Amino acid sequence: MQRDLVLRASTGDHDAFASLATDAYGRLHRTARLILRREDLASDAVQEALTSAWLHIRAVRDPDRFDAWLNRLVVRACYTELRRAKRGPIEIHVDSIEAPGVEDATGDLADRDQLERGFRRLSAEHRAVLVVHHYLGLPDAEAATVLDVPMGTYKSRLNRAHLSLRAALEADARVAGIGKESVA
Amino acid sequence: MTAQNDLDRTLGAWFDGDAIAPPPEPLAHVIESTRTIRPRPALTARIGSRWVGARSTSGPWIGSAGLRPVTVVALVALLAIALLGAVLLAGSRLIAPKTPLDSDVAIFVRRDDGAEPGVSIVAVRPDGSEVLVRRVTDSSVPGLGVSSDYSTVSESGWLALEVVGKPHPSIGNRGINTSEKPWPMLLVDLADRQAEPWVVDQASLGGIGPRWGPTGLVAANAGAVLGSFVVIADPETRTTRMVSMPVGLVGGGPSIIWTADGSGIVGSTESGAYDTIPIDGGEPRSGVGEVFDQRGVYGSGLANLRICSPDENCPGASDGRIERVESDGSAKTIWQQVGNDRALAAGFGSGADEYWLSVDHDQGRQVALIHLHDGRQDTVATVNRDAAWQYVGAPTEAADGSSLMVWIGVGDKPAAILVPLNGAPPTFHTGNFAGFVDRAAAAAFVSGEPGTPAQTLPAAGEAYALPSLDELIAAELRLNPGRTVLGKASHDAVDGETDRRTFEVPRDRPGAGEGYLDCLGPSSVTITSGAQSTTSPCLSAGSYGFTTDGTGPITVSASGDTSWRVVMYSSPSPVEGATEPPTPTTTTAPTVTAKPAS
Repeated sequence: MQRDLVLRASTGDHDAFASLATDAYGRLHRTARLILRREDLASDAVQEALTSAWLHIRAVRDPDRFDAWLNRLVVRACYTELRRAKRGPIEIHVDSIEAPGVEDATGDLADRDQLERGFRRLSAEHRAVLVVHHYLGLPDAEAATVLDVPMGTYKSRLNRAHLSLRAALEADARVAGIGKESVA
Repeated sequence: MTAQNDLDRTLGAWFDGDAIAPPPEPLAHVIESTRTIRPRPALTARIGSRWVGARSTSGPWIGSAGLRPVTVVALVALLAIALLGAVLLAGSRLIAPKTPLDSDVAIFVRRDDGAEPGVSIVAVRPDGSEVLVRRVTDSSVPGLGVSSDYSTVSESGWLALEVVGKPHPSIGNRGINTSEKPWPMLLVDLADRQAEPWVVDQASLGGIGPRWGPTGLVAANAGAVLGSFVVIADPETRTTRMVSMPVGLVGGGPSIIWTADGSGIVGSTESGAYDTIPIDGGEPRSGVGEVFDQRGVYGSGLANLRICSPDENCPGASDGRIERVESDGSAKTIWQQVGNDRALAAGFGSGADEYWLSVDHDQGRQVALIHLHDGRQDTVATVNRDAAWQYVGAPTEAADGSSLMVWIGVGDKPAAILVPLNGAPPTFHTGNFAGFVDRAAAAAFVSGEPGTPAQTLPAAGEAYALPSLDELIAAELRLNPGRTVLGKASHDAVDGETDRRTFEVPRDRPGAGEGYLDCLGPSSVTITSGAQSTTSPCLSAGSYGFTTDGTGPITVSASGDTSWRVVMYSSPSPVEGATEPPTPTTTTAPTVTAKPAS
């Protein structure tokens, strides 16, 4: 079905593209929001990715890889949005990610706020590699393609991202611990 | 259950728990705005995303706008004087080695979380023996957190170490703050064991490795979010400068790439073109020429290499050839697979049209190291493979041509093999390979020191090995407790069985879900579920995912000389599953070997 839509879209059938975009929109937007941590930037990134997808739909040689291609576009668009955001005035919108029950499920490792803070401290590419791995759940080879890095780089970056997040969580816990001691 | 698995599970649950519906307006806007424009012709639309967006030439450039030529000349002169001073200082440090060595030495860094956590910096002498150069304990750099084994060394013997997790009093309370840099860089002088590491706190590495340039300077990411600034550090003079990057760093995940003359850093524009950003504050230049990349990932003009295996998006056949891909997307074949020996990894050499390859040999029992140069192909060494090697990287050649280092993945642990090019036996070394140090500089900290014998390679090569089904299932259930195994199958390689057959994966119970294919061996494996088909080249360990709707057969197409595992699981239910222990029936399920389909 999707293959057919991609083939039709590549011939200029806008309705087919609209169908593809609608199907992918939720996944792309959530991916962008997880990487960027800002609703407004995520919306911009997804718009840019989808617009580019339409403009360059004829570059898709393998319709079965359309989803991977879209994922790649949105990750790249996220990086672009971050660069743009860095140039302009920095507006920090703290968009909390609702995840009811996570703190209960994860016990003593980290609560949702800790996770949010720790995740925000990561670099964009570390957030991206975690999102691609844990949220999109892509196999290593496809994840490396989406991130546009060699397989070895992907694996080492994923490892580093885990280490960084863990370090950030531990640092957060230490700061919280120090604060409690000083109050006491 | 390990802390890592807890973190993995937490992240998965957190991501999946984000059930907020995205706003409809952006989608509506895209559909409406694209309705009146046409897709670009195929010839001008390239796969990938380097063409995304319009090229921007209006980005901020701090330090260059409004500079008069005389100022630029003065800055260049000052830079030249500084560089000359650095060279003289470096030279003075290098002219008094204890005993000359006959070749360059390799540096490894190992993380040790024992009684006194820190990293051990180890030099590997040409004969493979190891010398502990120094330890950098976490407590020796107070307030910085934990030193990582991710590192890179200069030819003159300065090691750049990444520090992970610098605690900052404000971050926990205020969330993101782009002015803070929680990932500083440590520069360690290997020649002076008494010298304290230099903390370059303008750096904020965050996973973007620092890179040594050809003139002895090191460049490191300094942006809190995405490489908008790079700090250039001179370890000899202990001076730094900040360079604004009006363009992004290279790659989908940024990397720092020096120009070949050390005068600039290469950046990627929004349109996918490349600019060169001078480190002296000069105006960015369009395009990129020769580059300096010790890792061999990028070649002249920022070309890269790809192996056309089944999971690679090469045009034409997935026949294992290696292509050199230029920055404009054009490609040429530099190596063609003949027979069963597949390319495992490839990297650029130091010369034009010079490449280093790691290639399968003897049905996976050996790795052949191949040198492509001057239109020739030389197999410079074959090394016996260990069954524990799950990934083999491309060879890196020492600057003096005395040896090669090949990165090896053994589980989560980095390692490498040193292959002397004088015919001496190769040796195995654990830790993160940081690079080679020039023999003259290394003499100051290696000569005369007691060494430990090298770990040799297996006397006979061992073919690929995969974890058992039970091990894979147990690992998955640690990650996603509560998942149910819907079906599984496995096959262990049999030498000489090169015929391709189709197997059907038996189901233990019905239902939709996800599956994982793991394979390792001399040929690819294809798994098919309904209309979906996934092919793994089986070049390195790692799972390929697929989905099953619960109807119809799941089949595996493979030759008998390749090992593979397939496990189908119910879809994860993170919140519920996280509170439930794994069910004994799934962790102890007997291995079921698929039978050939009729």
